[in-house]
Amino acid sequence: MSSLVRPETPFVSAAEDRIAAATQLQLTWWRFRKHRLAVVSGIVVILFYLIVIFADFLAVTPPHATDAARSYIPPQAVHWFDQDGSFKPHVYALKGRRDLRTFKLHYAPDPTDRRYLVWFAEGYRYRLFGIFETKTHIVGLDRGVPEDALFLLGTDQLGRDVWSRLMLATRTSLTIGLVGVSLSLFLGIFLGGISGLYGGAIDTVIQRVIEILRSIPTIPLWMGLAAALPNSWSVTQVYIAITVIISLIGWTELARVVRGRFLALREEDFITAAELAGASRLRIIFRHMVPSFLSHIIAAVSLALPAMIISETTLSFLGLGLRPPAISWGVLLQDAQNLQAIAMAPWLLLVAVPVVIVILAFNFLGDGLRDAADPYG
Amino acid sequence: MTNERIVLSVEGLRKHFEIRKGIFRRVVGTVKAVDDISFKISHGETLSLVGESGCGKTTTSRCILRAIRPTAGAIKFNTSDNHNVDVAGLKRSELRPLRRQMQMIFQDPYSSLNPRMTIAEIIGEPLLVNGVGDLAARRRRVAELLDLVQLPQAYMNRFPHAFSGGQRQRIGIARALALNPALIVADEPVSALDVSVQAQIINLLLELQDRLGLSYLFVAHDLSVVKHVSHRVAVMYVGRIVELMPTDALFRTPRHPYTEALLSAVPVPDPRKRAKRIVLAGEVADPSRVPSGCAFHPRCRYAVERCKQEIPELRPVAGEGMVACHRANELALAGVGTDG
Amino acid sequence: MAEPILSVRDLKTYFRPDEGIVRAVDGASFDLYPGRTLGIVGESGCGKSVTARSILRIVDRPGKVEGGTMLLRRGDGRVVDLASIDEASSEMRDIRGGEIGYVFQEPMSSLSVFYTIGNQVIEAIRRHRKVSTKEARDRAIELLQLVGIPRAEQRIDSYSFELSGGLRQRVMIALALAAEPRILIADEPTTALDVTTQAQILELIRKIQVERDLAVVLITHDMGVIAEMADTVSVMYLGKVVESGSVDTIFHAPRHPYTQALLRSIPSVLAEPRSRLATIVGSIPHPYARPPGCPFHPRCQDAIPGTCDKNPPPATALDAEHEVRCFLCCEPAEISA
Repeated sequence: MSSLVRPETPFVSAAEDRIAAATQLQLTWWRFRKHRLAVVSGIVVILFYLIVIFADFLAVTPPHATDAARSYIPPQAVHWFDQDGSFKPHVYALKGRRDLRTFKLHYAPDPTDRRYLVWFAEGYRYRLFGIFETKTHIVGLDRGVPEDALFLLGTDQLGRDVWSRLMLATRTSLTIGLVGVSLSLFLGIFLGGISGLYGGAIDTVIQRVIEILRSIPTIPLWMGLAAALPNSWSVTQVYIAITVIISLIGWTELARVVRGRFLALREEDFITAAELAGASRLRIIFRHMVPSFLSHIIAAVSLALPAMIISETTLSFLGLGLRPPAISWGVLLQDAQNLQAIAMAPWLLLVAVPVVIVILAFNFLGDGLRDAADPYG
Repeated sequence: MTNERIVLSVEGLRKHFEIRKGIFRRVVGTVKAVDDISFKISHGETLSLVGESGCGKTTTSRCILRAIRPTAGAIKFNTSDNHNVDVAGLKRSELRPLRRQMQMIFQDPYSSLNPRMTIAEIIGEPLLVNGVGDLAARRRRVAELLDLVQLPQAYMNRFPHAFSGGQRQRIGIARALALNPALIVADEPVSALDVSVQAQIINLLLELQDRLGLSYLFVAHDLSVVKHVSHRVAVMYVGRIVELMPTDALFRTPRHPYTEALLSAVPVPDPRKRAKRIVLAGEVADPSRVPSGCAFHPRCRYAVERCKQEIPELRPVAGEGMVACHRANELALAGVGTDG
Repeated sequence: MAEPILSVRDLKTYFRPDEGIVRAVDGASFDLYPGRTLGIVGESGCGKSVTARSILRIVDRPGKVEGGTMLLRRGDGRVVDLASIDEASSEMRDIRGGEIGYVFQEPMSSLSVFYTIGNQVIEAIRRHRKVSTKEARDRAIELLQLVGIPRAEQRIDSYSFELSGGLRQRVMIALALAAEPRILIADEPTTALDVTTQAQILELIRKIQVERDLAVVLITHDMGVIAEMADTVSVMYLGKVVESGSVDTIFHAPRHPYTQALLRSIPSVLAEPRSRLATIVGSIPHPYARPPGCPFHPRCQDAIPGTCDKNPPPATALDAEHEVRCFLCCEPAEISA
């Protein structure tokens, strides 16, 4: 026998050895990494959820502080370099001037009074992570006095700082999305699983229910449900109720994905092999089937989240969801609802920008996850 | 050599599927996938079930392992302590202890292994599920099994995607052997493999049978593979066994016209042996519309009036095996000889 | 001997995905004659299907024909090189179907379920000939009768899912022959069929070949089918033709170690019951991990260290029809150090 004959080896090099021992998770991650758009979107999503955690830190002005005198102030321009060319970001202080005919106070920037930006400045009190009391915010003005304020995105009609409200709105809107999706997830997996696993009459009933739910026009449905909420409910209660309402509709998509996967998996030989080995039903479901569709679930979830966010934004925008004094994207956008407001204060529309960015990011992320999860098994 | 102890005795097995149509799912017909099958397998013996699509061989194999529930009949399994248990009617919970004694090797090496488990976990699962030994003992057994199927032990922590089709089949075989079964049902175990790999797996199965005294129920459509592995062969057509003979006799001197046609149709890898073939007319019969009498009669060159009316019984012939043909004793059919 | 109708020399089709380069066909050469059958045989990864698709320039991306010539003598006498024609050109589309017909492996998925089989055959006919709808339908019925479909006048309006596997494959053959090509390429035409149906289809191909003096390329992994149908055989391994010759030579006097080992390892109805098979050590290498030198050397009992693992062996002509790529068959002078 020639000395060149080699016994069986599936792979030749050490690099391929690494691939051979790679788990599904690793393979999925490596495939995901190749989708640059999805990776970037993933980073964007992470950044947004950092905002959720540090919302108060990122806000500069008390978001609820109204001051009719400061209404509709345009965003303060940040000048990055000082007259001598050094990097000293600053804004021009706002000086109030009374219009002698209307006796209204108008604020306008005063170029002679430069206010330098200070990092980690002191501002209003809040609780970081809900635990630590602190007054530190990311940025503030030097020589600060309580009446001074930094309006990075201008103010709304009631003189409230749009930037700070945007930070808190982001927190609210993104967490509603998460909570809503978790509820949908639970319902979707449970009902979709039963549907796919047991089939027969149960499956038929659940499928028909899903179809009926999906065929109801959403906005009238929401209007009806929201109108049914008692006026006396507190902000928090309304918040929870809205979340529940949204997730009651959203579970149908996930249920269909889960059902489809269960149906496909039932026929696989390795499931039969496990049954023939004597594995219990429970083990087959949790050890064999669930890991198989986990990646599909993750992909479906990342696509369901934007739907939830849009739902909440729409509801609140229409005045049916969260109402002031709660702050969410939809509530903020409500302020931009009339033409007059937009004409006078177009910066109010800037609230739409993070909404669009987050939705796009979740969509690209979800696509990337689905493509990474799919090519295998 | 096979000894006399019968490991499996199938009697009168039937599996009918109902065809339902319409909103109210009314039953409009029956597919008689398996229609009165009987055979026995001895300890250490390989019986092959051969036939074309729709003949019911796969359904039979799944009934025997109770992956599906038979409509009628008995499946008597001889357990290790010499009891005969009829598994046809048992409930799921009663079946569990018996699972250890009969296992399956699947056709598709790419869907028979869970891609998310390591080889060690896959092969070890039957042990884990049946509470055999602790973690260390299981690992030892997995190493033993890998040796048996000639795979390096170092591969234990790899995942199925790292292996070729032939290696995956070996892993499937190792899993089937984990609990020391007496009977293995092999459902087309080599048809999805390359030719040179088929040879390795066939040899492995033969070796394992000699070493471990296994009985095989071998389901296949490829007659050349069947020639290499079987002691006896059962030819199935549309849910029934039409001939059941020792291998050599079946190939040399078939007694049923369908067997003759099947053997004649197999292309022989020798250009000097291009014999005149029997080319059958018509299509393989549809199990939902079985012809009257002998199901093969519309395609049979030797059919007479009786064949249209009466279903032939599977009867012993010439002391060797059994045939289901009214004209079995009159016909002189052509088989394939052996080389050299 | 008549002129070859198709002459392939040194065909190279490579795939270049991100992970590396796969030389699916790496220098294949063969000739095809009218009325004769060339069998291309090999296991997975040998490149036989890619070869067939390269001839018709229908290789899936990211594959491309990157070298070699494929000289086709067309019906009107012109000789064209299929390797250099633009694969999307109308000339190539004329050749597909008009000069070369192709029968696919999976009749289940190769026929459209949205159109009747009649529609599909008529479309094939009218693509290549200017005939009226009525004439095309008549010709379609004739074709379906030719391939042995019973009650063709009614069956022409069936959908493919209403037909059995054997009938579907006959429709595939009718489609391939619709424009009266002079070459028929059949890629594993019977692998998905039962053995009795396979016998019918092979018989049909043989009958049509005789009637129309068709040149047939039969691609398969089944040595039995090759023995039954082929006149000449090319054995492929990992993209190279390792041995080619008449069917009798290949089966009874093979010279390449792979051919010899392959023949010894196939199960046969003529074997002794329960006899062991001779196996080939090892397994087919991963496409990205192809061995240097002769592709078969890691599995070859007689491989010569220093020679077989260095350079690919040259083609040695053992006689008029028999060619081998193996250092063991070379003249000693050809084996360089």
